[in-house]
Amino acid sequence: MEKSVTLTIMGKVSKHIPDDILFSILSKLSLKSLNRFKCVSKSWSMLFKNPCFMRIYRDHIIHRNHSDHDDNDDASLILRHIVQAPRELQISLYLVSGDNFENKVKLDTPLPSQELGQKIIIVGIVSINGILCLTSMVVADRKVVLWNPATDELKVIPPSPVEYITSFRIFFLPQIHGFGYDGVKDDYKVLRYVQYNQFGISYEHVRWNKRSYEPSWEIYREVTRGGNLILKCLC
Amino acid sequence: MAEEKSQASSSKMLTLKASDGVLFEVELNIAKEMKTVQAYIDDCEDIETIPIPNVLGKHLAIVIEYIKKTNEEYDAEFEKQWNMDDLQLLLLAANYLNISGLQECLCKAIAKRIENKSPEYVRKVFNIENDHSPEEEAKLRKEYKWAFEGVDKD
Repeated sequence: MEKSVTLTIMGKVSKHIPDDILFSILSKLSLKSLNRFKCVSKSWSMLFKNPCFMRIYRDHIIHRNHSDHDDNDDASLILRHIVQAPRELQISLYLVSGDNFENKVKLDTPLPSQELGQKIIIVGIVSINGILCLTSMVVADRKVVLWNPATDELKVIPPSPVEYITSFRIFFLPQIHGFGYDGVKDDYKVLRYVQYNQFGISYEHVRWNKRSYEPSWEIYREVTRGGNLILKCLC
Repeated sequence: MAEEKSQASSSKMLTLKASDGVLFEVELNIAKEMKTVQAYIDDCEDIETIPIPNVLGKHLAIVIEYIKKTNEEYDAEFEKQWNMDDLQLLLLAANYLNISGLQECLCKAIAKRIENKSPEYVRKVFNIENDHSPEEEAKLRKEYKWAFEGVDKD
């Protein structure tokens, strides 16, 4: 090959691009290209499972979505298309991008029904940095997960510590209020509202310590309202 | 002798020596944009000639010009002048010299040039050997058929 001969003559300069630089280049590509380039080689087909690449890729997406520059020529949305077929709901997800959102790419990754069953809700009807917060309509299956449909990464959010205090749980109606990204702490936040009925159970039995684990959970307010103990958890 | 005049520090000149021996005289404030060079200066204040063993004269010249002229307009036009090989070598130079603005500009430029291309094209660009078996590759192509729509012909 011509090119490599020239380089040898010139001497000490090699054209090999180390991984971290390569990842910086690849992180700027569209998902369509990244998926197509899985054919390039075995290691390229494993990019989405490579933690070094994913770190750089996520940084890039977050920076792009939160930058003030007019650089957002690649802002994207995730659309859910629901078709009511005779016996079932057919749900497809699309990644839409471009100036007029003219680039529509169907995402073949199915919703994570293994974790959440069939009746999945997308919290807040919003995708933050390409990530969806999902939960189930069925209370028995009620888990909260963060899911990236483009890379199929899934993270189950551990239940709030208060959910373990079952003796107080007469009615357990966790509701997810919202999902967002905290640029300062570089972490995602899920806002959840939990309501308990307190029937003659004294306060002392319950310890409302601040607990933190990853992601960080904090109990920031408790309110008693006519016999009901309501906790608002920010997690 | 360290220069005392803070006013004149911007006019102090430094010599950079490229891998092929080409010498470049640059102002201190330009040289300092290269964090690698800055570290060199921090270590030995008196230095006048700094060796840059990983970068050819041709590319060092381009890098220095970039530092002098960089702004939004310039950056937008900058990458258009260079072929793919030069872009990659410039990126390696910018990485070695630790100039984040230039690295970012070049990464974007290279990404833009491979964005709509085929896997074969990309393999040539980065000199990558295809270690997929024919069956594996066929399977990937089928699974990601949607990703191949509208791709530029090589």
